Amino acid sequence: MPTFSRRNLFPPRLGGGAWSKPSQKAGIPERVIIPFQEAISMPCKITVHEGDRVKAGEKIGFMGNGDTCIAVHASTSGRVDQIAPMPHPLGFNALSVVIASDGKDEGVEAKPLGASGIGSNKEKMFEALREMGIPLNYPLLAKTGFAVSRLLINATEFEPPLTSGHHLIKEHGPHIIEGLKVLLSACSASQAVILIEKDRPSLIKTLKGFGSEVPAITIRGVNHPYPDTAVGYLAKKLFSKKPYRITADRRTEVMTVDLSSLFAIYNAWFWGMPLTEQLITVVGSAIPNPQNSWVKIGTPLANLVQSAGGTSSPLGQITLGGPLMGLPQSSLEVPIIKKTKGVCASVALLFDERRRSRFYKRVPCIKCAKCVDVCPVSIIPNLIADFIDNRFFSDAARRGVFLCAECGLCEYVCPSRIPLLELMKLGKVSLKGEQSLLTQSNLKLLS
Amino acid sequence: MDAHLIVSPPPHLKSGETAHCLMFDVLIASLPIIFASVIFFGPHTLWIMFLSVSSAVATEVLIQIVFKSPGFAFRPFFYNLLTNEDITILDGSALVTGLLLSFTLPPGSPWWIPVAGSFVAIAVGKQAFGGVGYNIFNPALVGRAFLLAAWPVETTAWTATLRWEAWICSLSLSPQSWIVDGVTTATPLALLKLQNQPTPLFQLVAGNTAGCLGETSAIAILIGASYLLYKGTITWHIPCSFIGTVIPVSLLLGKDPVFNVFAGGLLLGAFFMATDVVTSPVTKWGRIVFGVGAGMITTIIRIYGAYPEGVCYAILLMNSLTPLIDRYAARTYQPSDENLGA
Repeated sequence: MPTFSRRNLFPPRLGGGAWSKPSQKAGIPERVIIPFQEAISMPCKITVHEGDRVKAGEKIGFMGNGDTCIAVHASTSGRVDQIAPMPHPLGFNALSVVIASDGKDEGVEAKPLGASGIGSNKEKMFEALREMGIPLNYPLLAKTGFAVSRLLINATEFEPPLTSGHHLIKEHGPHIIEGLKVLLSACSASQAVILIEKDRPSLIKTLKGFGSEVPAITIRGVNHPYPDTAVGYLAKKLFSKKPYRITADRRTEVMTVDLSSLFAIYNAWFWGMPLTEQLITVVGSAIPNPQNSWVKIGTPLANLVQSAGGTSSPLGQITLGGPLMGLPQSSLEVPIIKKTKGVCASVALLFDERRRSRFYKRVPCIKCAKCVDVCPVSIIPNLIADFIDNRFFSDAARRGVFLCAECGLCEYVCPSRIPLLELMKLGKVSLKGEQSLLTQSNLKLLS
Repeated sequence: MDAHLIVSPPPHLKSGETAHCLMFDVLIASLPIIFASVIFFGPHTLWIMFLSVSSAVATEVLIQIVFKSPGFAFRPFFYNLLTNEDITILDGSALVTGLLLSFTLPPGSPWWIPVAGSFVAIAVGKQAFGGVGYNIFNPALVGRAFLLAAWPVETTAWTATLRWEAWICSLSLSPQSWIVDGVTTATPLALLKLQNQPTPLFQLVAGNTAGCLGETSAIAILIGASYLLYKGTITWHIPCSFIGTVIPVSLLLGKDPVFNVFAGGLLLGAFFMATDVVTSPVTKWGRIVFGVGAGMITTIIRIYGAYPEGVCYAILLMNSLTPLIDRYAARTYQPSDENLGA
């Protein structure tokens, strides 16, 4: 680090190469792997058999049951090669359908939802969105009788090198607003707040230009990006007069939606296309051509790395998501799933332990309070980590360990190299068991 | 396509900053203060600083060899000193402690004053609590308080600023002539308190007054402080609330607020001593409470106390309250809030 340069608490925006280029369409992979489980032993039903021919956008089953049920579609045309447990990004083997692509990418006949005249019946509308495979918070919708009062859309890019969300606004701004309008009328929400960073004035202008005709849509500039996992906290902070004294039923009225779901709603409503494609940023030190590309859901990571010009020889680590919150993958056969925002591949040199100086090892906390200043949910990471290190778990819970969004910013800034995020996870697991791990529930939401 | 992939817990990105970056920032920020002290009090101040720093580092090495690293290999000595992981002199904290201690000493101190002060600062103020990160009190101020109690005459023997032309003219080959023989005088605060004689504001700001090595020149301190604020090593909360409390309280008690800010060690204490990361609160409101408390105690000691100067004891007293402030400045959550973030 240069001695006299100014120190920033937040990571700088990287990945300028991917931001300046327009997004492109990725080629059709030889095979796609479509997982049917988002958690271990999640119920699912597969309606195709090995050897069947499927078309792109054809419904091949559904996963979940009851309120969490959501349809799964083939993302490209071809033959069902295999139905077997395959590696899932979350780290377990999920029952998956492997489709060997025929390269034609034939689609099924499109039936736009908007033309089918179901606009008056809310329940049917959400049933149709469910059939289109669009991930929304269906349990909350069912609980509130399909009437949430507020929508919160986090359009900030928390991971510094990823730009897929901003690309979606740049290239499909009006479509996102159209999708939001559909969703607003569907759940009769009175307010929709879009959060976006202030340092992207062109995107704010785009959104304001198209969203100004709807009074319910508010575009709100924020100074720093928020992680998707902190939006629950953020919703309380935005919509509640007393954010720290709020009853359970009031806060559940806020539904958080992400940008790719809004675009998928637009596609389903006006063009009848189910969610089979995802805009993904491919970046990292092992990627020569960082880019944003539309990839089929179920594309293995190996295809993504290859199409961005990378090879496997220098590859040290590949994460689904950015470098701050991304999940490292042990295999290149792992598929892209819904709500993935990007893939970050790094070269192996960065992980060489022998090159690490002794200044980069853990030393006692000097209470510099950088983690406190940077925390998006306003807890005191150094104090909580100290409690957990000494096994005072109930004190850690009183200081708000369950508020932790696991964004990793505290560990990013820590000059003492304390593994704050790992200690937070240890505290959560010790207090509530493995089910409380936010990575699990978070990725249930992400996938 | 097959690769051996590394699976490590997130985050995979680090800011690259380490604890010794913060310490060496303080070192860089104190360069203008060192420069000003040499200008106003002569090159003898460098000798005091050197004694203080080397005593601090030597004390730290000695204590860590005895208590933390009993199997320390003495040969090759310097190589092992720099590479042994139990010896933490390379993180710069002992160096900064010694330097800050020397800033609070009078320019005409005998050689054993900085040596003894640094020894107490490191041994009692820091290592007795468990080393860097665990100390309750600012070690440099512990050393200063010890010196003030143990040798009150030597630590309050202030000399007037050096007259360079006279000193250079008297230089000769004999080492006797190199020693600066300062005229004994009183600090601006003592002058006002005991003889009711104010000092001109320009002298106070420039630093051309009697006082400790590092505290007299307001300009040099503000240059260093602006570097620290620019780099983000310290935040504005403690200095602003500290100085912002001294002004209204001294106005209320009928004293000149501008004189109270620029005289004595207030600026040095507010920007370099009170902002010591280990001994100040972690939350923003906690830092403001810390600064306000230190400002009130400083003013009260200055106006009503027996000592003309109160910054050292004010910061030490507030240091002892830091764990309490941290305890009450942070929000606590009920068990029903536990799914708040998810």
